[in-house]
Amino acid sequence: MGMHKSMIAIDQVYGRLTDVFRDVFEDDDLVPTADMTAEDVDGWTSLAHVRLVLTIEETFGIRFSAAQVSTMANVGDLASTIQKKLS
Amino acid sequence: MHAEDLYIGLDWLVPVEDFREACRALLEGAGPCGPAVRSLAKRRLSETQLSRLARVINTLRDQGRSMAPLTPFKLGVIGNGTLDLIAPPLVASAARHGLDLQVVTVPYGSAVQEAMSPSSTLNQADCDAVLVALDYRGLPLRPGLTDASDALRSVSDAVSVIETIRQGVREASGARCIVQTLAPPPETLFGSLDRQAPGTMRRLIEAVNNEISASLDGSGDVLFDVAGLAQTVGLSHWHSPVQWNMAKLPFAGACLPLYADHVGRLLGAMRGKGGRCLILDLDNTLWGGIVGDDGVEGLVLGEGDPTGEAFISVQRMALALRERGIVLAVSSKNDEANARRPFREHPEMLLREDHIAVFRANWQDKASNIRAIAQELSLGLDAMVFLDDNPAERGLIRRELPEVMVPELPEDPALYARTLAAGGYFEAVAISEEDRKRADYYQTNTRRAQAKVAATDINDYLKSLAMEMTVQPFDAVGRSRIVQLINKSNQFNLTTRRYGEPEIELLEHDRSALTLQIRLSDIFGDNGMISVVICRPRGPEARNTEVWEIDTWLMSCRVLGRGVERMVLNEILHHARARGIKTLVGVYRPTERNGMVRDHYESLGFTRRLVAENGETEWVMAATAEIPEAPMRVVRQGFMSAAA
Repeated sequence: MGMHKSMIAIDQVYGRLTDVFRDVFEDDDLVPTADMTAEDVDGWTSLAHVRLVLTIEETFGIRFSAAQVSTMANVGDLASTIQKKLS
Repeated sequence: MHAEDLYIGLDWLVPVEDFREACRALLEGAGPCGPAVRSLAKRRLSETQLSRLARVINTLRDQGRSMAPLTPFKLGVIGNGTLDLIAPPLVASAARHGLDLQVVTVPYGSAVQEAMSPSSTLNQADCDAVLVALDYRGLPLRPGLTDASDALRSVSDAVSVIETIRQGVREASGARCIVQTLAPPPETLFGSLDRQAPGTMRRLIEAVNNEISASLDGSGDVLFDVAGLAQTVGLSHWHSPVQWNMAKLPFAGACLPLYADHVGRLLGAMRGKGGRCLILDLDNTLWGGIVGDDGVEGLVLGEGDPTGEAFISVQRMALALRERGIVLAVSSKNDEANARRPFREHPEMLLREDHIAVFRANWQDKASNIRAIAQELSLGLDAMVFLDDNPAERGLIRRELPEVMVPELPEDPALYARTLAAGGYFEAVAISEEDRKRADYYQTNTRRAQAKVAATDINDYLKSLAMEMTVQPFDAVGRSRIVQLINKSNQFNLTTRRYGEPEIELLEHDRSALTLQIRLSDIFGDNGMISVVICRPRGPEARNTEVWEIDTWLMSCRVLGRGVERMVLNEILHHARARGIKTLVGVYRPTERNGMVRDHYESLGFTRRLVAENGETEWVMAATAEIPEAPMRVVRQGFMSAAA
């Protein structure tokens, strides 16, 4: 563990998130963007949100706390939280 | 992480390559889609993929596309967690097990009302079965240390909630209930004492589970042992406090595909689906090596060698399945004579030819052979489970005969048996009359054995073990195990002389020596080869001597205290007399590890005649000596002529 461990590029996070969003919301054209919120996506219900969180945890091999999940305001928050967890 | 677990990762299923493309193809196709849905469902799918497949299935059904040959099934689900998350994976997993499943869920927290009211959504939905997915959080359990009797009363309260639900459903809709046992939480209050102290959560949950399973006998309702499943993957993996707090998930999302697959198995079993016949490949599936190339003596099989034991565990599982009524068959690319030889000649084989209902060893492709096996047994292809170490053969069968169940196997044969078991191909919800007859038979035998084992006197105990000792001279089949024992045994080893394969092979043909390889079996099973003895003529004119020196005598410590040494000495004396030997000489060469046999010869009645400076001792016994027998049957094999 070096002091200057490099972060995974945010582009890479979005790249893998795109697959996750397409699978969870079953829309193969969906492109997640930083300012996107649940309002903007068809089917982003509270249940779908849980599935989204589970799938991200599985895909990236990370675990969120309940507090982290409830404080994320948009996809940008989500992506940067993932980025931090991976570094 | 989690996915590294064989069970949570559904390792027996084949990974899916292009899942999205397959979903699209299903939706864009026309006509019957049952077989294609089932093929896709048989892949290793994540929770997300299962949910998506469920949506595809629902769409296809709405479009009126035929789901045949999938069998329609309607399942109600009640419980105290988030059921809407569970329902879609159930639909997709049920397709894996041959069912066209529709799920009816009821609002969170209204389980009892829904079950009791004849006019509820649940009872009006005409369900075939209702899954009662309650966990301990949804039941009135009251752990307590100060008032243990109240805690115990709460067990009855919890059980009666479940009984009320079952009765309500039965009376209002006639559906059968699938009742879950409760997974205990990993947290303990004291630690180990939680299992001992009355009134702890662990004790209460155990009591509820016992009452649930007892109450199901003969009721027509079905048990789903969630507690067993949770213990299999580990209680801390099973439940996530974060996910419970966040979304009321009764178990971690990572376990959802496994949970759903288990429900699918039970539903399949309720509709008479599932495996009836296990078709076994031979080379590198039932034994290590290729019998056609390596010969019977070159096969790796049996106790004492890690790889050999792995294959024994496959055979043991096949045999256990046969005992509960699963038919065994063989499909092998081999000359038939070669393929049958190990069954007849290899002493470590547990499976015998008469255990195999259909034996097909030839050079035709395996798909034709499996078709022929199914036909001969009058069973459907969807009742066949095919176990083969070769990925190419597995791939061929999946492509040619998609109905056949083909578990994916890991590289290491040590995991074959566990992977086969984890796949749940032979799930049953009741023991059939036929199974029961067989089970009764074995049970009587077991009871007999137990009664005997209860004996207190050591001799009675030894008698109750029904030991059988098989004595053979060295031969090619036993060679590798003999060499292994000679080079590995340190403790019960009188001389610790190490020999390699060439030396042992020479001894096989040395008519002046006596070589013994000794196996022992008892009511607990076959212990394999447990002792090795080499006697050589001693003296200046060794060829015509009347003295044998016991060059090597070793034994596995597993069989200590059973009188095996005495019976082995009896064998040595028997052969000595038959060959005109008058005296036996035993030598003890001390090492750092073999102190346990310092007095070996003394306790057998030898007389000490030499003590060397290095501690080596030499002992003699007349060949006419009589040794008291130990309670075991002795079988001599392969001694051409006693006087040879």
